[in-house]
Amino acid sequence: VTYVYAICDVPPGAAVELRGVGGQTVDLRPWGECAVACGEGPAGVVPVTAENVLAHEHVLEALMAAGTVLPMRFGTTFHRTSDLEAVLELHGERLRAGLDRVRDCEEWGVRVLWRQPDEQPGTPSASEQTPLPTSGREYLIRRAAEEQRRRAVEARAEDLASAMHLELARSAEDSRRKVLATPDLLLSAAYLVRRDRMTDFHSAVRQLVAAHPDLRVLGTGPWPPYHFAPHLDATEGAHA
Amino acid sequence: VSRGGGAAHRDVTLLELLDRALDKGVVLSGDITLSVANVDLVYVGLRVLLCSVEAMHRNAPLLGVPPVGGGGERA
Repeated sequence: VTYVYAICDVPPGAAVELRGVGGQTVDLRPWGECAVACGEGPAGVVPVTAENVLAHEHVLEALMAAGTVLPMRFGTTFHRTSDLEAVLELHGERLRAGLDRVRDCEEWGVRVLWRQPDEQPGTPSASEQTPLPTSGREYLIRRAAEEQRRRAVEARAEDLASAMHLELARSAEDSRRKVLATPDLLLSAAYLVRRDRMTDFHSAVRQLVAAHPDLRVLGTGPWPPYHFAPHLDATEGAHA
Repeated sequence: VSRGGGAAHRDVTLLELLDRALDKGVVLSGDITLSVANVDLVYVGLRVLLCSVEAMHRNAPLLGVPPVGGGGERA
């Protein structure tokens, strides 16, 4: 079973010392002018364990330090190398373009936590404040008020998150964002940042932290560009 | 760059990684088979992440959390 870590553009020999999932060696199989980082994988299902996921990540990070990587999703395996080759052939153009897009870039993650406007200290929530409704009409009026409040919170979140996101995206080549992935998570975003613009990006994050002392900001990176990998369509290739 | 946070720091890094490695990246074939008993863990984990972030924030400035493995900064 062949486990695939990444498509990469790194000097030959960059993977020699690498140990991947299950402690297996990692090879760089030439693929045109690039290479496919792969190794022997576990037979059957790949267990999602911290150890295995970290091993996958360590391989990507080592390759990233040596050149450009396009990360595969954890658990990508092929029973026959001929199947792998066929898939690479089918999506070759897209994969090469994807690799070019992330060249000289790293992914940085930013999450912003907020306190929802409804949860300001000292403001009891609606359920604590008011007795149970005594009529269907009162119930509906309350429901409508709650819905209105929810929409107001969402609109406020969207405004705030968009403004923050724009400041960061200015120093990035590309970005992904999600607003209110959970009620407390105002913004979850990933930025594709060129290595030579890293200083700009970092100062943008620092300015954001300084400008919003009421919010909690978590920055992580550098990551392999997981969020910026191309989506491959199974029907593509046929009409590409 | 801070190294504060200890266990919370490691948890956050692992959760950030799970969020990426299991949900992002190129899907080369339609038949990625994972032992998915832990898929719920990712979502539970995101709630854990919120707590961890709060803990980290108390301990240290947050920018510059190193990648998994603590390989430190790269140029």
